[in-house]
Amino acid sequence: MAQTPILTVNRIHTYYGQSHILQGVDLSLNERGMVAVLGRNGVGKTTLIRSLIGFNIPREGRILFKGSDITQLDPARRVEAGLALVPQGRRIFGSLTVEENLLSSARKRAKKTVWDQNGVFTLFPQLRDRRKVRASHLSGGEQQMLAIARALVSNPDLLLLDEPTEGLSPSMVRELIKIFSELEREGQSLLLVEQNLKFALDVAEHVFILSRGTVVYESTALDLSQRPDVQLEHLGVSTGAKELPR
Amino acid sequence: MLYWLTHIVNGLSFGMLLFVIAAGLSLIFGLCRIVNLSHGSFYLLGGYIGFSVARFTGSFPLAVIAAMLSMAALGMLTERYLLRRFRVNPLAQVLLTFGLIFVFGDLAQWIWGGTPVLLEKVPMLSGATNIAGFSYPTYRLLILLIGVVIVLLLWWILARTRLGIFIRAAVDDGEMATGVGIRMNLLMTVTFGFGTLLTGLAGCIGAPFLGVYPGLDIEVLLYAMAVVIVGGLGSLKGAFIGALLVGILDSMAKALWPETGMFSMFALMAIALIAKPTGLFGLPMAPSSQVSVTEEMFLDPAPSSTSGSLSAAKTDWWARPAFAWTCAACLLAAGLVCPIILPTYYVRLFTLALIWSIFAMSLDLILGLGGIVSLGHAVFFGICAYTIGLTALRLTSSLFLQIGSALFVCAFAALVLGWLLLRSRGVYFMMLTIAFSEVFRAIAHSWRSVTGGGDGLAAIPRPAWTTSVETFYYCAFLVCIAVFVFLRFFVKSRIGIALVGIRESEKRMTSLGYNVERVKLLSFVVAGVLGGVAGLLYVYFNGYVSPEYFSVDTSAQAITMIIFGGAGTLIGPIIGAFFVVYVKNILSTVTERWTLILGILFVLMVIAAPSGVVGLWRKEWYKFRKKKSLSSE
Amino acid sequence: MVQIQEEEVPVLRITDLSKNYGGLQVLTGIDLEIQHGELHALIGSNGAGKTTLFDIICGFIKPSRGSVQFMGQEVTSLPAFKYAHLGIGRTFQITTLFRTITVLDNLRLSLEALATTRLPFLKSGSFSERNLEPIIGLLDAWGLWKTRNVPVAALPYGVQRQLEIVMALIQKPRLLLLDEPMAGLEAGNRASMTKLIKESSRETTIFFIEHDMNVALQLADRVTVLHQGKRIAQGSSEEVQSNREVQRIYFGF
Repeated sequence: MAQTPILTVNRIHTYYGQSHILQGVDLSLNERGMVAVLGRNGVGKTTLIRSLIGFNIPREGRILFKGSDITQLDPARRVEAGLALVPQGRRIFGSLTVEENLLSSARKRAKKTVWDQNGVFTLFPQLRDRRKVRASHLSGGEQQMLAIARALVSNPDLLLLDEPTEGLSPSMVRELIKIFSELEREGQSLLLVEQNLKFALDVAEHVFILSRGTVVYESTALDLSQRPDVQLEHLGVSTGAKELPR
Repeated sequence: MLYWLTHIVNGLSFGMLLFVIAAGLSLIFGLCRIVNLSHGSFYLLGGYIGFSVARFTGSFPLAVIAAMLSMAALGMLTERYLLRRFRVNPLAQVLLTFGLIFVFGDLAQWIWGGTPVLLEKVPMLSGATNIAGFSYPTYRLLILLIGVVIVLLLWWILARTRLGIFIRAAVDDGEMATGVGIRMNLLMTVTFGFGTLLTGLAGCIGAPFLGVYPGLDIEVLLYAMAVVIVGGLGSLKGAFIGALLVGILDSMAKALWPETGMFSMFALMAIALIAKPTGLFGLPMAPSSQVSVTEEMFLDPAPSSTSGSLSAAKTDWWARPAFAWTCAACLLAAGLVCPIILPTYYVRLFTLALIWSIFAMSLDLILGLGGIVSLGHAVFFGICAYTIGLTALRLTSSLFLQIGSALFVCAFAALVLGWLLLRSRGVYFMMLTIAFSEVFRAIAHSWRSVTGGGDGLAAIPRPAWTTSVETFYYCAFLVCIAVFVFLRFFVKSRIGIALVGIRESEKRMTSLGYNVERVKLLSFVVAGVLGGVAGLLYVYFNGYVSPEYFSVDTSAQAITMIIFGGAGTLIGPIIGAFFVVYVKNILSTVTERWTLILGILFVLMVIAAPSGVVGLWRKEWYKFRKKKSLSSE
Repeated sequence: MVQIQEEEVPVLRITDLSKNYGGLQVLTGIDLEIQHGELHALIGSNGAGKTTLFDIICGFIKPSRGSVQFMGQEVTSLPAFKYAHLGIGRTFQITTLFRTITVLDNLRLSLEALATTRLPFLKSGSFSERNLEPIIGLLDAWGLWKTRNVPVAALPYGVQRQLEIVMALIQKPRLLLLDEPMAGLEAGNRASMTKLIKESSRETTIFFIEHDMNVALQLADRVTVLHQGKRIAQGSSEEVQSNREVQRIYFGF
């Protein structure tokens, strides 16, 4: 635990117009591995991701990435600094081909594992076969792969994932679990925002729970999996309980 | 056969030229989501710079390069230093490009004078070429060739280069584009510069056969807008097909009916609007829900010219009726005695200001109150003026019949135009209003046998009393007060309040049960007719009509008055009208550069004080009231 | 007689409703019935099609297929502004009050929308005191009377959200659609909003979108769950909670 944090979020407050979504979020991420932020629908998970990538600038608080303050930077500069986003709803560029989507974000960086087109095509063989196809014609699962691949080829130091399992079939979710584990093994840092508790517990090492705009719980994934009471209180579900209470 | 073939080739080459212009317009729209109304001005400047460089160096290619590079630079500077600061407010951006029309246009006239210049062609291109037994002007063929080269080049850039990928990605989803590391600010500046580069190129290669002259900027803008209205904004395919259609149609129609050929342009745009309001291949306008959500959620709306609010005025005026009444009484008294104490010169000036007040108020009804930003309100001014002129010259000497028919024609035109134009909104609507008012100006210009062409209609018979300065002043004064009172009622009527509501949120008003379309159309017609009233007074005041009544200058002056005084108020446009008329008058004795000053004034006001004089005053008052009402609870 | 009919016919009946934009299928074969006096919640994750469904129910968007019946009357093809006259009121996820005018004027605007006159521009938009009665009552009930003369922009966000609902309620709708009434509220405001919705539901039928499964389950009589444009569950809170598909898709079991 003596590592220096790659990302520190210091009491940020983010609004949509007048709507106060993040009400003082504190987070700290260590280098390597995957951290998950869990929370029910509408607690501000996506807003947290949007604040991190810079789509919404927090009104208060600071975001430190690799030791430098990025709170006021625009998204492109944050990507330059080493963040990448797999957004909710995938948001691939539909009128571009698969290959062009990858070219839109490709970026070289001195790292141990460097992702290039070939690399991501090895990770997602389906995409190689469809590299000349317009992205809007891909299936949902393929689009999700493309969104991940698009983020990977920018060779980020920290990969932000916003509900990557949304709308995917169970088999595709299992596939993602494999892929994320592989990325973790290779030393990629990942921040996952998720409401799918089971999936998060499967892939993440450390978890935070967000509720109504603040972090209400933090522990290792293992600890949370043994705390059905916490799961119930903040997430409304539990992996342990067979029957759901009223 | 040969005759028609020549016209088709002419049309094609003109179409290609239009494509080069419209491609830039479309590219800029796709990425920045604004219509660059000064696009024609870049064309004009490109032509002039090409002309100067060619004369100085004697080299045509050098001229082309100079035109391209200088326009690219000017475009990038414009984007970087003027437009970027209003990135969250496309409306202000479009208004700025509108103001630049006058700045660039008048600067060009200042530097290169008012007489047309013709760029010398390279001798080897000036002859004719024989193909399949027919001979064509070589230069026209060259334009065709250049057009094809540019189509291919653009296609290559967009389809095959990394820059093209960035641009297409940004057009798809601008926010996500920044999220994958594309620097949108830089990309927008570059794209804007590239668009104006193409226009500069077109200006230079078009100069040898179209010439370069003041007013060409607006003409070119009209054609470019016609192209994108037909083909759709944001699509190269649309620009290409639209350009060829407009080019050929224009060339044919002008050959068939030299005087009324411009009607074809009107018909073409109208048909396109009825069939598909976003053009054949246009980017879909974002569903209105999405737009409002994006604006509310992600943008901090900067004050726009329409942010002054009449509904706030309501509380203000009600709050201090005594103050308002005192002011009104003073103004009324001053207005009544002024012909008695002031010299004739000022009485005439004030009469003019009163007429402009009516016009500005009428526009403010839809612009300030309804947030329907029309840049072509002059069309009603002109229509009414021409109807008066024509009926007085040819049909009847009855004042009653003249005015009646003029108002009827005006109302009818407003109904048709409103029905057509209100299908679109925002930036697109702004472009359409200019396009349609310019078509009217072009028709007035070319339909010589009816409208008198560029000379207009002179020596319109007027009743004798109109020539008395004082009498006419009182007449204008009365009408102005009548219009003011009428608008006061209108604004406070259910429909006026509904109009304000629509400006704030169309969706909400619909869900409350208001028939939004009808309220907008009705307001548009009322504004049109009142604008016409100003036009008819102006004819009786001046005794002549000219196509310039339809010009963008007329609309721009009214908008300047509104912005100066404060949009969304009634007194604001009047203050603005007196200010602008007075300043124009003073300046005209010192300098001929009124248009330049108008343009600069316009741009500065959009930048600095979009809520106008009344807006500033009200802001303080509003703050004061808010404090009071909160503390009294 | 009429009264009895009203009780029998569902307030809202949606049959086989689909909506697609080009190739993008937003809603697929939705069936839905809302009975008189119900407090009905619509749940679904982002992109499930909740707001699209709302926009169809109040006429902003026309469905690609299927029909919407309100009180037994086919309304699918009516222009959007007619819906309010029939008795469908709605609020928006993003507050769309008229910010520069006072609370009272906002409510007047709402009340006046349903008044019918032949020459609307001859009728003054200002209101006599007698028109105020329903407003006074409602503002009092919601504890907003003291804010009546404050411009909306000056009100706290939580109050604005409440006013958003009052503005629809004042028209006495027979069906009230609430688009995420809880969104962006802080804890204290959530509680009072919950209470207000509960109280209003005694007077009118309410159909509301809620992001938060728990809030929806607590508050609503019946719940409909949308997922990727399809209805995957409908019924009482208990029924929905124990629905296998909801558990699988929503919680990832």
